[in-house]
Amino acid sequence: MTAKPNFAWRNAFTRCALCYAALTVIACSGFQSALDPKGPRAEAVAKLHWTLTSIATVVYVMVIGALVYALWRASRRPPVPEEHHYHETPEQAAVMKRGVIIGLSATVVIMLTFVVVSVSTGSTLAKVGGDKPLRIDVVGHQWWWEVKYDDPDPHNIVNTANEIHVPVGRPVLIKMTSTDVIHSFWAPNLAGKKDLIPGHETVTWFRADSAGTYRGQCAEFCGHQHAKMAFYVVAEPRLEFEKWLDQQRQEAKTPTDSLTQTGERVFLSGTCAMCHTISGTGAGGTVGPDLTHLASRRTIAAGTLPMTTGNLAGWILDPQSIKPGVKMPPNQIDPQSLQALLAYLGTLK
Amino acid sequence: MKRRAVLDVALLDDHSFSYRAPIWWGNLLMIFIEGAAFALMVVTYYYLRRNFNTWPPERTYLPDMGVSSINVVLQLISVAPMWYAAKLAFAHEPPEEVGRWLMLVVAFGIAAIILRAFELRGLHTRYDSNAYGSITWMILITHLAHLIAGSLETLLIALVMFKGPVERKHYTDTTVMAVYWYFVVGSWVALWLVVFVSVRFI
Amino acid sequence: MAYSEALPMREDTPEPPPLITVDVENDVRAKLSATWREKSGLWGWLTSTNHKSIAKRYIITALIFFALGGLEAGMIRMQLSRPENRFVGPDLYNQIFTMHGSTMMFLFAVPVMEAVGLYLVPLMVGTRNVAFPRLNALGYWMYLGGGVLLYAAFFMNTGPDAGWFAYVPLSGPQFTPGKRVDVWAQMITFTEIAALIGAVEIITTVFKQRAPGMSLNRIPLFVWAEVITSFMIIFALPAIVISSTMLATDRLIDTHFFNPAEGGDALLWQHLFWFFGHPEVYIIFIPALGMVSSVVETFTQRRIFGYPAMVLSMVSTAFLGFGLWVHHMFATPLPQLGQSFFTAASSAISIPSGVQIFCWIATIWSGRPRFTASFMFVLGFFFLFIIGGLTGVMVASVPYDLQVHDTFFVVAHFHYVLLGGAVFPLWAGFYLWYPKLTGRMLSERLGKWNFWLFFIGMNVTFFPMHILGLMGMPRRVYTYLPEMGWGGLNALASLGAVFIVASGVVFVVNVFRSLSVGAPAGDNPWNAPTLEWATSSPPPSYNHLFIPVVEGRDPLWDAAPGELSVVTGLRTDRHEGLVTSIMDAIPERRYEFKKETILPLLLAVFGGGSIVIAIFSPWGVTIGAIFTFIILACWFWPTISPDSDTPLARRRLP
Repeated sequence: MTAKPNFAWRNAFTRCALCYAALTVIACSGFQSALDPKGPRAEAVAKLHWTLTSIATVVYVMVIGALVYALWRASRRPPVPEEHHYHETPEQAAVMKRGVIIGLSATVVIMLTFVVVSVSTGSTLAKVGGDKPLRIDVVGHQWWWEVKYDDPDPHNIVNTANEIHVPVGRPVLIKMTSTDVIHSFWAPNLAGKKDLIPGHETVTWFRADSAGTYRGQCAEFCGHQHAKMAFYVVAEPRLEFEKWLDQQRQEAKTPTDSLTQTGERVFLSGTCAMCHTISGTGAGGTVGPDLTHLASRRTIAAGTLPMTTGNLAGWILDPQSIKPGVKMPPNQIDPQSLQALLAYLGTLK
Repeated sequence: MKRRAVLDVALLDDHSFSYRAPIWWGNLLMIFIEGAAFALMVVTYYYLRRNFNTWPPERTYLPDMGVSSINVVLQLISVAPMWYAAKLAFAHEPPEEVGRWLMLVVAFGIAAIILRAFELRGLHTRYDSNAYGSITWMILITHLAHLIAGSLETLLIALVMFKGPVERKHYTDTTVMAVYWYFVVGSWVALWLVVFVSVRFI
Repeated sequence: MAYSEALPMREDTPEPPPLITVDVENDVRAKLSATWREKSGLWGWLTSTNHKSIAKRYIITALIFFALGGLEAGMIRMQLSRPENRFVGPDLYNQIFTMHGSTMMFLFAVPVMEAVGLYLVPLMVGTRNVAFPRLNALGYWMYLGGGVLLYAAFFMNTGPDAGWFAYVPLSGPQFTPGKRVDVWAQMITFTEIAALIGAVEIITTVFKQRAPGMSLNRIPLFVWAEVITSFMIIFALPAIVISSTMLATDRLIDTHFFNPAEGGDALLWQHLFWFFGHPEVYIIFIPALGMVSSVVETFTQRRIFGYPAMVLSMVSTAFLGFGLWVHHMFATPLPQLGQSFFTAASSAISIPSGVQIFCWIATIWSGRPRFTASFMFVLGFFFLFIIGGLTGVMVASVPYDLQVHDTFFVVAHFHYVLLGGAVFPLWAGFYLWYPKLTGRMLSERLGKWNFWLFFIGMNVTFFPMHILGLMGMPRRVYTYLPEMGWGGLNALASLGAVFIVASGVVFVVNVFRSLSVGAPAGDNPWNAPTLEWATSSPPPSYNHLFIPVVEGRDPLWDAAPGELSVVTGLRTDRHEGLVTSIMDAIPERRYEFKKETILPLLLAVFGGGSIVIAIFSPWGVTIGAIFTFIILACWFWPTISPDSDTPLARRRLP
């Protein structure tokens, strides 16, 4: 799986030397980066970043410059008469006082600038940018994201997990809470983070202005598998989004061939139904994610593995080896039943 | 290094009262610490109020005013013998006199401790019922710890006064104890107002 | 006969007061050495109440914890050096980062800053011991107990694993069963008691025991820093006292402070913890500011410019520090207007720090800098702390913070301010004061290696973390996927850790080697101005032969060369010091310090044992209370010294 250690170090060292030289480029692109904004909230913060970093750099250079100048000047000064050995001369005192006052005033002005810039950025971000936001509910669990698209008509409610689809250009309002510990919803390409706190309802919003798949990750330590609690936001054109939503609203199709029928039986007769729901069948467990449209998702286990049959098989047989501490137990299934189960799960698009 | 003697202090006294005595400062700082802790408990009390529709929560009676009012009054009265004992100590009066007044304070303290048990019952909630129960019990029990500590300390000083021999510098302990006692009583007045009185209005 | 009978008060005679003769000095020295001699052997060590012995223990213990915390950091960097690494699994990793944070914050940073103060403050203000010597000893034993508790539990796989700030509900009974978090909460009990004790000592000593003439505006800046820090400790620690108690009772006896199902609140923990937690970092930082002042004035041979501004800056930093805590909670549902207030306050706190930096630069400009290892560490402080301060103002902005909160950006920020702003000045202080503590000089060459390895290592480790955070890497993750692109910078950060470890090794070698081969230091090798340099290196157990009288802010520079004005008349046959007034340090009373006793250790053992029992049962509190009462009764029971000169209290005749 990995290269030998010394090769990795050498490789890393070379890459890092390049990294240092091309800092901004690397941070600027990609996935899960706050400096690669794809929506107005992240855009505003990215701009703020460049503003604040520039001001900070200038301040730093000036203060360190003053320090270095002071060191240089002081080293060159000839020795002073005895009575001023430990105290500044009156002339020096006047210069020093002026210097400190200039520094203080500059600091006050710069701090005020920072505060004004940041508060105004903050208040623009607080207002939902656009009309008629799409409303989504997210509930945090250890260690997966429950996603619900609510609707007055119960047939139109969508329950899914770890993947949020949104239409491009329309604001999305997300109401969040947690059933266990504090989590934090953070998709840096789109917006800053917001905590999910049991006993409280929190709200965040974003708008994806270009189509794409954006990764997010839990950003509040929530236990063993905090590191593997990711999610994806898939922004797609409105028509495709509507198509996806309609698809998700359907119940699971009844399996037609014998293999998938066997698979469905394996699912329903085993322990799976105790924790998972597949709407249209008798499986109604709510401890784990809703699996009705499992096969339509890009990843397994909250962004831990790409959705492939092989990965799914590995996950079902022994989730503890992939994400130790997760609530799903290992499952003993013979190869044939597993084949059937995988085939059935593959139909859940 | 040559040393030049500019000041001689051999004739200075070696015992002092109130802010001249380091122990008085140690006591004052401890009062700040405990006072800050009580202040934060009070803030917590009001913070938790927001998580409930009614206060006290549903199906919890208001805390009893009867016993708690008696306790407040008793504690306030106990300030008088403590103040007098400190005055006697400051004037270097005989130790037995000081000790007698201190024993009176101890009696009030014991009464307050006993009444605290009834006050806890009068809260009509348990520490493990809900957050209201938890914070009110925490406030009362923490203050009870101070009552116990204060009464026992006063008892100890009184015993020293009776048993002797007592040097004049030992009178400082009585005056410092008095300041602590004022804190114990004063903090209770504030806490009583929060837990037993303000509860009826919020 | 009392010494003073030979020398009556002579303040108003026209000739200068007489010099004390060598014979008299030798006589006093012999008597003081006998009276103040520390008992030898194990018993002497266990019963010591000498502030210097206690402070040295504190410092050495804190440095051992620093090394342990560093090892934990090393393990973190090993695990994160590659994506999907399997050096440690998630459970152990979560314990390791929790131990790292808890060790550094509770067992190293605050104790070492207080300990340097407990050593130097009595020397700098010209007294013989801290105000309450036995209490000081208790403070050390409680601190040691807390550290031993935490590590014993860790080695038994019961180390806390909910992060050093243990957010509920994760740290509550439902989601972290077992005793891990209970151990953490009681470790807090031990260390909070030690910290509060140290604060009481420093404030009382500085208020009441300063050398005559050391009025408030002549107190050394380091002493001001320690006093201000101590007041912060007094008002900030109670928040964690009650919050850790609430957590312990939630876990042990089913209270509901943090249980949302019964009206408790997860955010209550955050408010209470950070009301302590934010001042905590200033508690660590402000003593370091005092150390920078001491180092700058010594190695530029100039008094610090702008003394009133420096003092007021530290005071304002302390006050402001209490008004910032919500900036740790910007991602929680708090009202926006309230959050903006904390943005303003968090930005404003950079202003007093800025004033101090400008005053130091001015001082350097007017002086003659000597680039000793100590001074280099202070220069490193400037280079590093200012970066940390600037990123701090950046994260003070709510929208910015919502992107970088809980990511490696914030990890970079606080390591720059903690390492750059506190540890570098601390190392500068070590290099300045080692000669005073040991009587030997450290190697300047090794010192410079120490500095450069640390400085380079720090930047290589922590600068890339700013980028990692912006690239989306959250904190407290035991691993990450290769496709995230974080592997390169993480590997670089881990490489930096090697430099830091190397610098630590160089330091240890320097310290031990110099004990035997370092050049003898003499009283004042650096020609520094403050009173600790007026006595021998190391100081005798009684600190100063005669209590000095101070004529200015820089006593040794303001005094006539080679001469010191002193106080006579204190008794040499018991532990006696001088109590002076708060504002102008006018002598008021003579004061007897308590001598060595086993009681502090006994109280720590029995009281501490009860605290450990409290991890498992609430009866621990009751047992502890009983033992505490008995031991404190013995502690405070008045004793009559055989040759006491205060009259016995009058008994009324029958």
